[in-house]
Amino acid sequence: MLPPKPPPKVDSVLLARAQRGDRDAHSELYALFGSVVFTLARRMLASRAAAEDVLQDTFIEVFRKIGTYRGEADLGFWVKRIAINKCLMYLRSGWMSRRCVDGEDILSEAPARSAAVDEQIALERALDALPHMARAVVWLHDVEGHTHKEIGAMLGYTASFSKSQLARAHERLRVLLESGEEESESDLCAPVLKTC
Amino acid sequence: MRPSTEDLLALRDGEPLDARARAKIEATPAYGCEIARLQRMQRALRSLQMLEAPPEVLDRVLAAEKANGVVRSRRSWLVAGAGVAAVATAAIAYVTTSGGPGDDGEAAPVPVVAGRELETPLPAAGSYGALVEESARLERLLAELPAQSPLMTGATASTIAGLEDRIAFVDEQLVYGAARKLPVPQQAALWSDRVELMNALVNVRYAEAQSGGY
Repeated sequence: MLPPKPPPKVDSVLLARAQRGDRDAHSELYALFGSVVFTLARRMLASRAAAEDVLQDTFIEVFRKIGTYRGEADLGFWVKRIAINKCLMYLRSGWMSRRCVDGEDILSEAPARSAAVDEQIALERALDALPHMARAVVWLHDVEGHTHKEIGAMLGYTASFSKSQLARAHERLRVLLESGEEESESDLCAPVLKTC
Repeated sequence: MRPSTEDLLALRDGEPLDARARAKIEATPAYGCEIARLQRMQRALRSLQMLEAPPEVLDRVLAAEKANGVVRSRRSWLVAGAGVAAVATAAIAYVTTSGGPGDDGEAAPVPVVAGRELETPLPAAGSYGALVEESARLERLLAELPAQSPLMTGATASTIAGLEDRIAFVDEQLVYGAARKLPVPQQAALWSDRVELMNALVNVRYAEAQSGGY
């Protein structure tokens, strides 16, 4: 499996300042990990509003508990674990089942439209269209690099459940991306057909 | 037998795979292409654009720090805003979470919710596999319940939020425990806690669903 992109490192001086409650240090930690947490939450929850809630709740907890952080894992890993737990709580709460995928987020977040950007948008849309659990599993496994055993434990299921969700997610992503390609091809062809 | 997507992903990720399935995949070029596609998909997912964290969220977090952590997300505001009177639901949580399995392995007391017995008792403590299975069963039950009503009482909402927080805490312990190779009995104890909390959560959510949020 490809190794996941490691979160940013924090030097011991910044950590010590943050543990003493230095607000500037807290702002620096937000600058370091804010995007990491926000991206993780936005991808797992497919909602900008929900991701903002998770971002806020995560950093409130990070700053409240940072005094108890003993360096068992990298700080970035520790922050991400808190964020993942918040995301899973959100998914578990049932709040997600009432909301639609907010595709406008994707468009507003895309800076420009090139072929590569179009591909990214298509993938983001397909990811957002996955069932909540499948999306969470594919993100935790393929991007964050968690094992099926870890994901099973996080979700309260087994490793087999995680494996089957990942397989289902990839099958669904394939269908969604291929149907997207067909749609865009038919869009391109439509004027020609009308002319004929 | 045709290899499944799970088999292809296992090979992509270097995980153990049945020898026959592996041989079949390796002998068929089309499966090689599919694995390459799955690798490209993983790379594409990892290269998705990083999203900038909204700066106003930091303002809210820092304001929360200043006010001793009294800032709440939209969801938490709803939870907290509906009033006090948490006694009844807190009692439910107390009954269900304190009525867990005993050390002697006897069947645990059947939790009661609003005068209704839950259909199945909790599994005996120590049976690690049974606890994991029970946790998964409760997760499935929870997922099948209707979405939380935004009009539920503050007491119910705060109980649910409290239980979810505690489950998240146990989950964190389980992940760290697995990473540190925590002995099985201690992991089983964590799973036992998780089952009790999940059980309480299912009960509260069930009662909430039955009452339409009130």
